[in-house]
Amino acid sequence: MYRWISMLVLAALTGIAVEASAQQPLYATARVEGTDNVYIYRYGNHQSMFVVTSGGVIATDPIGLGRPQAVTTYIEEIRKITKAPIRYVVYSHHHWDHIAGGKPFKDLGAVFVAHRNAKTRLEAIPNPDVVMPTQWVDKQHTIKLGNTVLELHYVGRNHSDNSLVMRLPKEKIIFVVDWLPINGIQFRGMADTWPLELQESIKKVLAMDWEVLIPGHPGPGGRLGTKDDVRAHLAYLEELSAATKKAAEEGKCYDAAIKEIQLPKYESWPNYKAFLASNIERYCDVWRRGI
Amino acid sequence: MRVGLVAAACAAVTAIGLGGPAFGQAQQPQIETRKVEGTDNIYIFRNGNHQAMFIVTKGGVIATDPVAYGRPTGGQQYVDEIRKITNQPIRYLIYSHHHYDHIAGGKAFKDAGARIIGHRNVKARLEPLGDPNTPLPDELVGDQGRVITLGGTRLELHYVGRNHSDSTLVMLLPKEKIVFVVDLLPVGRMPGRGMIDFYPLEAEKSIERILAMNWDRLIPGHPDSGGRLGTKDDARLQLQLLRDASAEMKKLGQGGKCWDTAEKEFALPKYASLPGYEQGLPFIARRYCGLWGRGT
Repeated sequence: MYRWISMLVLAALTGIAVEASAQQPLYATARVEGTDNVYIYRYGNHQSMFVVTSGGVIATDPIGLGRPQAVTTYIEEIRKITKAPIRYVVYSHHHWDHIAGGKPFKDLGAVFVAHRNAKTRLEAIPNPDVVMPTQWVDKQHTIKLGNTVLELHYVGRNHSDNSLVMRLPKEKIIFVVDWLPINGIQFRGMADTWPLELQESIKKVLAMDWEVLIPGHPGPGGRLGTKDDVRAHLAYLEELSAATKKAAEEGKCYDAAIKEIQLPKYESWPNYKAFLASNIERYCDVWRRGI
Repeated sequence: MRVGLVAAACAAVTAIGLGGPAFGQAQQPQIETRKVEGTDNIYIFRNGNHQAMFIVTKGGVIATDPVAYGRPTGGQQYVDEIRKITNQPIRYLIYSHHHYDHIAGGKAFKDAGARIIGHRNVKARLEPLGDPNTPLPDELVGDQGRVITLGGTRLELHYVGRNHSDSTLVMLLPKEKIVFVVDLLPVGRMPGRGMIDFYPLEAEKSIERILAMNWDRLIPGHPDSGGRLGTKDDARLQLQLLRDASAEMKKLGQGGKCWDTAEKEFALPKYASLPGYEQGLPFIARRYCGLWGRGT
């Protein structure tokens, strides 16, 4: 059922998951199985989708915070596949660890695209390493290049107030960064997240037509996500929210709630132990303080 | 210089007391009402570790935050305390910001006929949550603020931007030179958990705006530092603390150390003597790592 990515450089793996082990290379580029032209560029623990079309390349997050070589490598990796011009860089959301370092793309003439709220964010805290986009998306925007259609959807506030869901309708692939972990709970204390609106966003993503989810950080073993993964994550958030709401009503937030709440259904997820306490803390903020 | 400020703040404990036994002692009662020294009609109602200001005028009472989160009888107890002082109608209940721990429990005031006032973002925040214990405001204040005049008392509600929340109102009594500011300006203590909802750069601007207002004493939303009132020096100390925290984390964050490494290395030794330093530091580190490590 799951569709796996196969590494170009390790084609011999023939469809077996890429192990996210200590000895994996610093970076890798993989074509998404079943497609001719959709790729994932990974550098360290961040990754980004790019699409090669007859009209040029659509790249996404530069993932170059504090490591300019990640961006020059990104471009070299694209160049190994095609010499077509890189037309676009689309930002998934405004967090620097995903979008810093885009200048080499800009120097090649790429047009930078982001949700309009990212403008407010980026202007408020200027970072010379973040290229300011020139095209802003409100509710929805479609990029047509060559014979590829890429839809950019804004589904409300979730992990940020400017996250774009990037959907390839023909390929039935989406690229969503940071808020749909695969076999995982939310990262740490869900900084910057609107928890209840996140749940609504996820329902909207589930209502879209797609089969494969590319995350912004490699999932367990590097595998891609499915709707079942997203449903499981939504169920986790709903159960966590309900349990924390009850605890808040019983006056147990923060400490007792953190000690008592357990969601054993999800304890096999690799980051469950590391982040459950801080996930509970975040929902305590919702239900105890209205934040 | 910084040590001097902290020392001044400590010295002020005795200078600007409330005239009674200090708050914060183990044997203190759960509920306590005090008149602010040097005024005829400004009171502080404290319930546990939360407190609110109320003003008695000949035209009625202006109350603020019910402070009754998780205390089903807290709102009524607050009304009862007011009733021990006056039988004037309670005209207004003003929310300092949208966090439940300060504003849950307003029903008793509504039942007593009070009109609930809050910044418009209070409604935007609370409406989706539908908390049964926190009535939504009857009247919303915009960013331009609002002035309440009642029975010879003037109370100014100022919106100074986003800071501890996006719905904070600074309540200023110009004649009495008193401000009531909740959670943005702890008195002589380290900020902490409240950083979750915090807008760091805008908070500095907010504090600058508050410092530019004409007041001498600050009533905080928690009885910090033995329950004393704050001064402008206390507000300056908080502003400096935030600036120092921001500068320190900016170095770490821009050096690529957020989250874990930066949070381990982050320290503000100048403030180590402030109560709550150890507990508050991780919350401050986390928030400023978001700012300088992620741009948010």
